[in-house]
Amino acid sequence: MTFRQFAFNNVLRNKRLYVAYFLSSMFTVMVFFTFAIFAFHPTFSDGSVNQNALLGMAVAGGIIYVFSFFFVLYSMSSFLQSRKKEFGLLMMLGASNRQIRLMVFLENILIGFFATIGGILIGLVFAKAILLVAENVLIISESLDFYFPTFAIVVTFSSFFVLFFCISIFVSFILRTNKLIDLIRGDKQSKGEPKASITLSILAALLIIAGYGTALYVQGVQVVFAMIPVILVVTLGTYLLFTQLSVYVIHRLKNNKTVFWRKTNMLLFSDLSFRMKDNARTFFMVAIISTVAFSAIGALYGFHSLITKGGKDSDLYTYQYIPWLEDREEVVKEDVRKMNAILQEDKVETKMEALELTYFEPTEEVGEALIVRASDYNRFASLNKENELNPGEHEFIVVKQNGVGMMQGLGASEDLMEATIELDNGQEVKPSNVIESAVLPNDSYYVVNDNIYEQLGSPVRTDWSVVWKAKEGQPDQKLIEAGRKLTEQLEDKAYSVDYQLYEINKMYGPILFIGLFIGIVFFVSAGSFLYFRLFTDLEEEKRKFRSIAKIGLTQTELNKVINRQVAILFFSPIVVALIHGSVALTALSHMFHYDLTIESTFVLGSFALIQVIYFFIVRFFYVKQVKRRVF
Amino acid sequence: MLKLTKVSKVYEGKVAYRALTDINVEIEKGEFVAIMGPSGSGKTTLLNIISTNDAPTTGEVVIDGENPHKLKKNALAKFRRNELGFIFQDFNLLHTLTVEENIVLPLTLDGTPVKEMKEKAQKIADTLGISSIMHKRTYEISGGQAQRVAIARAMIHEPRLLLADEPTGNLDSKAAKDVMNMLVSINETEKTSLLMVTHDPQAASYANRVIFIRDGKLHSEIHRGESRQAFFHKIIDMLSLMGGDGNDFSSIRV
Ligand SMILES: Nc1ncnc2c1ncn2[C@@H]1O[C@H](COP(=O)(O)OP(=O)(O)OP(=O)(O)O)[C@@H](O)[C@H]1O
Ligand SMILES: [Mg+2]
Repeated sequence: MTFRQFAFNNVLRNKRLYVAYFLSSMFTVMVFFTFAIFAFHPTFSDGSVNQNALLGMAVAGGIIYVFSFFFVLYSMSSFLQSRKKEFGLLMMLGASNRQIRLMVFLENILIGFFATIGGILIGLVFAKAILLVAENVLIISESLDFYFPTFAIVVTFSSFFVLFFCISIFVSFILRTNKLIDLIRGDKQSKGEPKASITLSILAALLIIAGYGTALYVQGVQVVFAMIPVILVVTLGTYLLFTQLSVYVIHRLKNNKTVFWRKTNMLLFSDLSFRMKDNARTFFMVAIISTVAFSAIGALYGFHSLITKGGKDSDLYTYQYIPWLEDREEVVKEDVRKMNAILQEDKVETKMEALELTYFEPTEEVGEALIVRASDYNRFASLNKENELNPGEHEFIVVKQNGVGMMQGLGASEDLMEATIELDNGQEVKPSNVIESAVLPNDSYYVVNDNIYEQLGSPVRTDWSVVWKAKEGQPDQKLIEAGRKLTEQLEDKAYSVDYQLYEINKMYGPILFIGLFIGIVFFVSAGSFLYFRLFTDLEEEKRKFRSIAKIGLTQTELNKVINRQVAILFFSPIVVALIHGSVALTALSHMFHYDLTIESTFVLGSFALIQVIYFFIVRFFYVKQVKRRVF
Repeated sequence: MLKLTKVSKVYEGKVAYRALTDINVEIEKGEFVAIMGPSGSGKTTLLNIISTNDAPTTGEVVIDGENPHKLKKNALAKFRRNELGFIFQDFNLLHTLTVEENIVLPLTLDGTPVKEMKEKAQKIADTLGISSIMHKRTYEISGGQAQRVAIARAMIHEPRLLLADEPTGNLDSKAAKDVMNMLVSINETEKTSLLMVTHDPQAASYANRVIFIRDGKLHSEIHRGESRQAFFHKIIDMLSLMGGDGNDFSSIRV
């Protein structure tokens, strides 16, 4: 047996230990490769996709790569941790540092090589699927056909070759061995409990409360300014939460003999405190990474619904025409004729209403205000089967655009409400009430009885508003196509909701896709961190449970201990992340004054559900593993 | 061969603990020395310091004219490979390897030709009576067999100093006797110096000399005369005098 053979046998016969590391490396390669397949798709390189989206993809690729680096590094260091004893023993037998490093280097190159190949192969299998998903999320005119991703393969292979090479060299730092005795004793030695101070524990609570408070308090643009400080404060708070507060709580529990010495509690807590340092670090990392994933996906999904639903809701009309300020009546007439011609040509069936908008200056404070005859308003309302308005003889009704979006000038309707309008005959009228409606596309205006309207004098300015409402049941595609023609031929005086949304989706699609992709990658890696944490200590756990089983531990008790142990590991960081995430999404909804409850609940709920399922799967295998050796 | 001068060891921790105080020991080439003492007296600590597993707090260790604690990492690795053999109390075999592979591991690290390794392993396995289990994995063999594999591994590179921590701790008296005879024969034929920690007076009586430690200090030492039987009794007497593991006999003797 030469040294090389030894290294080889060591890998082959110790599969289970290496498998976790191998799989996570392979997973990382697969993620990167899948992304590369997508990013290097020929459709994107011919310039049909805008520059920003391409830049976004490059940035995303970079993030995934950097993240891969740290992820593989982490996987490897926890993998090496679990082999400390083996290294110590080899050194005892006279292996030099160089030899051990060479061994680990060879192993890593070997694992790295096969992980890269495996990742690329699996990626190829999924390539068609991922392109299909991408095609649907992105709105691209061409379809993303399957292609043989030579370039993506080359890029992935070389990137990961460099990565594994660098990491293999990095190993020497991790292997910087302290004392041999510590290595050999390795697994028996507690890595030390972090010291918990009451001050820092309280600080942890205060930081998080302050961060949350600020995040929930700020509104509108303030959210943008508060974001960075809040993120810093909460991150620090989270770190202290896991390293201080949790240690403190467990210490208290341990000192409380009635709790600590009851049944299997001793096993559970002593274990938790034994691994506190490792756990705290893992918890922190998982919590933060998951928060990023939750917030990113939640935010993107929220945006999506804000843009699409917000747009659809506030625009009742299929097409609108708004002339430019200097356009005279003849121009307007000509434009409208042109639009009708286009609609006819495209066989879009519509009903049209037109209205001359009259602006008056009732008082100094309000300045210009749009005042609309009730009869005109009702014409538009009937087009949408909305409620008609019938203001009384001296009634001014303030109408406010509903579906409050971010663009809404705050307070406009309040201003209108407070004004006092003087009629021609000297009579003064106060507006009666505010209603919300989207019947006219304008922000806020008065609706008055036709008779009063005559007493308003002459308007300071007039404008036109022409709308078309398409008959129900016509295919979107037809409406979008007509919308495109209208927008192009009328120099943006014509506006089509469907076409606008289509354009937004097209631009937004790649961002959404990349965001989803990165979010999912983060979330899955958070999962593998947990997996590693659990399985790094598997051997030792087995030994421990076996010796306890000898002095009498029933299967049920074993199940109970393991169940709680795994549950604490899996859920404490995720619960924190879920709370962080929901606070972040609430802040986001404050920023846009748009209710994201449904979206947040959906996103966070799905993640929670996935985590629960993951928990059950991992626990099943973990229990099986432990039991096989114990009973 | 081995010379310890004023070796002390303090374990740092929440409360610093002085495990060894001013130990002076000298061992000649080819000598077989046993170390005895009550539990917690510092025997393993001493062995760890000699084997370069752990560093002394103060004092000096010289093996073959060299202080291994002052060597550079690579030189230390070479030193361990050539000078030292170590038999752990709990074997410490690598479960990923077969018995044979475990045995040749020190040679592997040295880059010895495969043929030579095979021959050496076969020879040593024959003397230790484990040639029939050479291709088994470590979890397929008994405790006594594992102990012998550990001995084979510690000896295969013909170290000049063999350190053993309770090599008979896990064995029945028959197996213990076999192992002791083996160690003696290595000691005699290869002129390997032997330092062995043990609680077993029977095992200790195979040595040329027994050193007693108590509370981290040298207590006394006795030399073997002509008869092993007489030596055995002297050891028991000393143990009961110290009040330690030999207590079973104290009521009769004192
Ligand atoms: N890593 C350590 N940190 C602190 N104290 C230690 C450490 N290792 C050993 N000790 C203490 O040093 C003393 C000597 O320990 P050592 O293991 O050398 O005893 P020993 O003579 O081998 O005992 P035994 O016969 O039971 O194996 C003991 O009191 C022990 O508590
Ligand atoms: Mg000991």
